[in-house]
Amino acid sequence: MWSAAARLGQGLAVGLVVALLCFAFVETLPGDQALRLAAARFGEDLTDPSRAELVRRELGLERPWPVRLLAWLAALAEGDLGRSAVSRERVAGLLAAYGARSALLAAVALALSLVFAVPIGLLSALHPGGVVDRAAAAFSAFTVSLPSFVRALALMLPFAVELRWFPVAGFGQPSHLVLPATTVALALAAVSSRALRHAVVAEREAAHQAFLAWQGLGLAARVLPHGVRGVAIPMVALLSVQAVHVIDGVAVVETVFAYPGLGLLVVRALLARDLPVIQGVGLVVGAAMAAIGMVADIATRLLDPRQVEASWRRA
Amino acid sequence: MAPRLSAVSLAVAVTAVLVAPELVPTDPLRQSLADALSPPSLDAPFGRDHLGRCVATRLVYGARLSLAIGLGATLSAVAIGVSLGLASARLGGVVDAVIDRAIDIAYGFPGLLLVMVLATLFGSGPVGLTAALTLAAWPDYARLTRLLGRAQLARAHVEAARLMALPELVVLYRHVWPGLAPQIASLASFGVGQAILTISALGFLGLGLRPPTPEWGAMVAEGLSHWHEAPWMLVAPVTAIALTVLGLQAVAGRRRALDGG
Amino acid sequence: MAAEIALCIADLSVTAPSGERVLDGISLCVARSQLLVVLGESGSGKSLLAAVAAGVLPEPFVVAGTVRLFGCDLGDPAQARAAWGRRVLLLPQEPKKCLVPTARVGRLVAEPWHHVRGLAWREARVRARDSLQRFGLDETVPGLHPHALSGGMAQRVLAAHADASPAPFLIFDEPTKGLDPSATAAIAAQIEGLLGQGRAVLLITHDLDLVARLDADAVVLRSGRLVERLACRAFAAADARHPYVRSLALARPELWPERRRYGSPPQVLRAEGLRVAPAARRPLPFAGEFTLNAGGWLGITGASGMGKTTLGDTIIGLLRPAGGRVLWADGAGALVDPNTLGRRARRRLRPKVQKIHQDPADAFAPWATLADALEEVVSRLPDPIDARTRLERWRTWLGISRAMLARYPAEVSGGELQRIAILRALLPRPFLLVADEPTARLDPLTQKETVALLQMLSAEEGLAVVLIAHHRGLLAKTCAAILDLGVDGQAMRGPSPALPVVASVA
Repeated sequence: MWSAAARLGQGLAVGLVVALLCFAFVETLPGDQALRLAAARFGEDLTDPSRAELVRRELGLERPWPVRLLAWLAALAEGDLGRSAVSRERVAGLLAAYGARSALLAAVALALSLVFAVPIGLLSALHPGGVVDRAAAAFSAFTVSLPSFVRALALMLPFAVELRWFPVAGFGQPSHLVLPATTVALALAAVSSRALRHAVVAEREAAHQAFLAWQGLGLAARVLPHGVRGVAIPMVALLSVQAVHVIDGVAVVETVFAYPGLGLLVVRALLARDLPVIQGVGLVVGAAMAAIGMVADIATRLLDPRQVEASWRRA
Repeated sequence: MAPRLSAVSLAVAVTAVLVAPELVPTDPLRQSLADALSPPSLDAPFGRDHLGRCVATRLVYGARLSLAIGLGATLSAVAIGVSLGLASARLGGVVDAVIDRAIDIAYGFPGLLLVMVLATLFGSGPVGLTAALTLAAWPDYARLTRLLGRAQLARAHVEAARLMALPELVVLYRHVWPGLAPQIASLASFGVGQAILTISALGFLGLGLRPPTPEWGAMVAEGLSHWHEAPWMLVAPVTAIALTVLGLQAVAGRRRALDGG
Repeated sequence: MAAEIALCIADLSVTAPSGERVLDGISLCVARSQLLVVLGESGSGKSLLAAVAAGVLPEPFVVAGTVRLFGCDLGDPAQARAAWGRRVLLLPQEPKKCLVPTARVGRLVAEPWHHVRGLAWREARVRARDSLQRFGLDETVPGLHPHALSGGMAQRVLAAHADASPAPFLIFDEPTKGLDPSATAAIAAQIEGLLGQGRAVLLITHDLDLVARLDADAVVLRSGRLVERLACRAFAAADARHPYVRSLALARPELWPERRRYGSPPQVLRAEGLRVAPAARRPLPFAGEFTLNAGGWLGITGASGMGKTTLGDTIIGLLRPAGGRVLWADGAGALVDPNTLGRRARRRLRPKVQKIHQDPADAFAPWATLADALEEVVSRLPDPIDARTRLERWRTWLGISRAMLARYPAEVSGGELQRIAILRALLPRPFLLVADEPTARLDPLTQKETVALLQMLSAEEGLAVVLIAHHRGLLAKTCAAILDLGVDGQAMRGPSPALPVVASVA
């Protein structure tokens, strides 16, 4: 399928562009790269020119940049993502470990968001313009606009710090997942509950639903084969949008709760200018977005026969 | 109605913030370690932080800087996005294909993460942040312009104007642009608010404006570490952020993704 | 032997939530095997009448009077709902919008057989397929989705729904809306078939040609009131008592006095071996040769998709010919190919060929007043002072008040907007006007008026007109020669040799 290949290509292109951008601009930054990396590795106070020199020789930073770029691309072609400039661990290994934990968080957050969104969305759709609907709309608008770190703190301070119902940070127990997942789930549910409400109302008021009723078809005959599908189509299209929210949210939320996922990894790498890790995360995120988009595309295509053109150009 | 309201509020906010130094004579950077962590009082309405600086003053000055950066980034993004979108819609063919593909690629990466990476690369000063935010935001305007532009260009009054031998630029300015302007203005005023909040997120993580520059996100981070001794250090910037969000909701009308109403 | 009465409406009044009375004192009856036509223009209340007759009128409307369907009171919501699909079926306007977009046609037509008549799925599907075939749709159609259907096909699918439904009373709401005139015959046949099954049919329409073609009784609705009841045959002959009905009947081009415009030399337009292609696609299978004199009218007709608009756009210079050429009068007595001119010469000649669009509301920028729109043109003409004099003269002549020009396009009716569009088109003193379906969106009475105005202008100013329309009758009355690009179905038969189309207007 042409659009599946195109999607994949897009994902890789994105990842590569990000990675190349990283490479290019780290090069142009003022100051000594080796010194900065040494500071990150050993600590500010213990850094001196000799340690910096050690780092420089170890990472081959004295080679001219085209050589380093080619070396990196060559390694990439073989599947070798290099090693962290700070900790010397293999980037691929780091990505796998941290990535798995982020995936877990994302999955729990998504599931939780459905638990919130479906009842609220359906209730809102029951009486459009009514009290529930308007309250839900206001709450959703506010929640999704609030920066994720504020949301995280709003949950952390009362429930973790003051009441001590949940741990403040870390990983290992299911209780570590609750607050971070809830933070992300709230933002997801804010959007998906509204989308569900709109989809249900639109389907209910659609001309084709009226015609089905006028033909004498009962509720089951109208909703099960046709209504559900009509509602599912815009919800599936929402998937790509939600993926963006998840990834964006995860970065900040993991930092606040010190949850060892990709978000935390990338923030630390950015602070330390750990180029290989940044590039690795960029590639993974680009590929993940593309994969999710592809799934959404395929699902939409299966559900909606009107999508003739490549649906990744969503309006 | 909504775009006009948001334009007016924006103007009011901008003026207020520019006038700030006259209203708030205290220096946001002046430390006073003797007074560190002191609670709200008459000459420090939101108390003082761990270095004795007046929190209220820092809030106001922080707003100033974030607003300036947000405005600058949004205006640049609009300029770039609208130009590319119009070119794409008007010229079609190869140009359209290339720009469309560029927009798609730009969308393939989540916004906040992209800003974080770019901010790190460009340096976290105001200029670097503005550049990072611009690069993350231009696709929104390009895509909207392209979509609306194509619809506008297909309208009969555009054809009628061309039949009267009106020059192409006149046609674009009088017959295409007025159809796009309200929606772009609406998106832009929302974009400024989003930029400000993004700056605060970066500040919180330590990837944005560096201390001692006052910035709300950074103030939240500082306030967090002093939560028990001086809760006002955290409450003040969080309230400021929440109020900004509420203000945005009221101003920019309801977002379409959340409410078709 | 009197047939059973299906629908009986007595002294019906319907008030809208706004307080406006939209139907007043309506009384009519329809019996089995009988067809009753309700003829009304837009705003007459006919769609509301259809809704009342089907028992689907929305809550906020207030109903007074009685509506009985086979004895049941449709005013009672419970009885009405029970009647849906079983005793009465409303076939709505715009069939494509009423068919579930995610389902296949075969399944949709089978549903009433299965759910309402109680047949097993397999048998329901078989019946559905047969029914579709009976209405002229082939075996591929049941597998299609609604968006893949043409307007005519969708209308037939709707008729198949009527077939599938057990309801003995059917209501057709504007079945010819948006369809080519050639579809009218098909619809008349569909209705005949359903009548033959012993059903009663109520047909709501504003399509005068459909009404003229039917062998039934008609009632005419105007502003919510029934003004006259007459036979369709009488309507076709304009044999009516009420003056409004008579003028409506005379609005059919078939009954217009013949006023073909031949024009007189010099020639202003010539096409030689012209082949046209829509933007970035393959050329259409015809080659044209025609000439037009000053003041003459040339008609272009053909089914949808045959290339009428493409040909019009090529004549007017918006599209380049795929082959051959179009020649225009250059103002100095000779004919010239505009594509061979330099940029400046081309710019000077450009406004001399103008277009009237099908949708007048789309032809004006919604954010500017109409006066501004005209000023925009006038200020850029080489002779603005003369242009303003011309503007004044034609403005009063066309019956356009200054107050009307001060308004925005949304505040003005379609007919008035089209007149202003004509005014605008005249400002650069064009020698040729291409009118692309200029009256398609207008009411029949306004249509007649607009065409008459155009004819008078053409005579006065020596303006040649290329008129593109579906309606052959209209062209026959006004044009000296007609280019017929073909009938529905011909293009779908694959590549065909170029059909030479020849017309010459002396």
